[in-house]
Amino acid sequence: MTKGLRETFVGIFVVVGVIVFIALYTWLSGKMFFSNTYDVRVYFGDVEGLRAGDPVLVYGIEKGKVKSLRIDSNQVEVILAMDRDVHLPDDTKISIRAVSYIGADKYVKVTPGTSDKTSDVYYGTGSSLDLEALGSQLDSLITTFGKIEIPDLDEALRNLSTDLSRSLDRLLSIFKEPVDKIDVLATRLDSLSMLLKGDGTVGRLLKSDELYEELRETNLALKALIEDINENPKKYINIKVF
Amino acid sequence: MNLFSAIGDFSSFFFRSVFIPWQLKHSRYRILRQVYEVGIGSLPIILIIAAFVGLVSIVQTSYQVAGTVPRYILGMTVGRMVMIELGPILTALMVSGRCASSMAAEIGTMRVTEQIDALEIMAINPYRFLSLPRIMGTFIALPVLTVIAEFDALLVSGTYAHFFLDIPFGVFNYGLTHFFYAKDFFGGLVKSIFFAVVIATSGCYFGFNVRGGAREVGRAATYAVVTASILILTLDFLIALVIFG
Repeated sequence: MTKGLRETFVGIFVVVGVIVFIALYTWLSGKMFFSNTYDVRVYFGDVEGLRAGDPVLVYGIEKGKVKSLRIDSNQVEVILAMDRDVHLPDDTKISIRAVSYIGADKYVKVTPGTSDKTSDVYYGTGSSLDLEALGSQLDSLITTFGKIEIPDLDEALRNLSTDLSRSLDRLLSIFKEPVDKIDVLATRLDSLSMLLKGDGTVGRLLKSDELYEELRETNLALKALIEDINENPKKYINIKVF
Repeated sequence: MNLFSAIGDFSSFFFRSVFIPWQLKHSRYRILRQVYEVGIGSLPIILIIAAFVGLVSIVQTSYQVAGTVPRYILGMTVGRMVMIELGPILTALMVSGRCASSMAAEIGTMRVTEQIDALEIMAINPYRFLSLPRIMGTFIALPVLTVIAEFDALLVSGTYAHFFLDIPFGVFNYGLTHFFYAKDFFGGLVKSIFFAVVIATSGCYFGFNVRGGAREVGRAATYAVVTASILILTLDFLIALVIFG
């Protein structure tokens, strides 16, 4: 291989390397070396974790990126690199929103106004509950419910009813035996209560006042007898050996 | 030879090779030849290796995290893995395997056939004539190879994700670009510059120090590759500590 040819190959190799380097850096960073953007200065009270490189969405379309952030006295100065085809009137609303409720990723939401004048400086607002997003989610929920057809619902209810009656039958068969036993127990308890009411011996014992009085008197007489025996034992116990 | 004297000898060889009054005009063709040998000669194997690095990265990452994190995270993980570690390291190891051994064998053969002595007799500085062009050539070629390898790996992994893992290229690209830090990209390239110096110096050092015959030349080639590989991984850790630590 001649020196000239080798030089050419090496030149091509190095040039390709530089081109790939530029292409790779441009691709990964999302920055063009010869960018077609202009800078917009926005002041926020609190950027809530916004970082350089986060996207800027105009009507939901990515039309720029956050270029830099800097604290300026008690505010944060944010420079947005906006595409040149985006025109921002001075009544443009700029706010910071979260990509998701749980994530830390943020984006800058831009809603251009209708004024004819433009401004050098804009003032943005922090993120708040996104009612628009909530509204759109409710819309989709309503749409989903609207798609449910009545025949499907009827069939589902019929299936549910059949399933419920089957389950009830099974439940009744399971409870039949205990219920019978409880019946027998109730009958026996009835007969016991009849006995206790006063017709039988136990009932009379429990209910007769006359028997109570007799027993009481007998008890008193026995007590008096025992006292008398204690006082005059010889009167009752007379032991004669001869 | 103990470890410290080996490090000292290696370092003094590097400084003797680089810090010498050399005229670009006289060394230009030799440097170009080395860029050709190291860069264009290694390009096909680097392209193949990088493609498989990209494929393995996306498959492994997908296997480990798919279903637990958003899909664009795969783009971020593969991108940073390739830029910080896999691109520079595997390119350097491949080039060391291919070029450090050939440098050691070439210069070692010149040493045993007394061609280096002949250069000295002709008042030609052998370091400027043999060592410097190789170090400079590798210094130019390796970062270029690394950039091409990274581009190749990312393109292949993104394409694979699009067609086989149901991750649209836009989603993969979002993860890749949204979490891009210039430090990762340039840190990888800084690594490759250091690796280039280590590879070429190792190849030349063991070639210059051959004493004996054919067997010693072969041994020098082996030592060159082993030393270059160890130094690449050691430097990788140290540079990672400085840049990303």
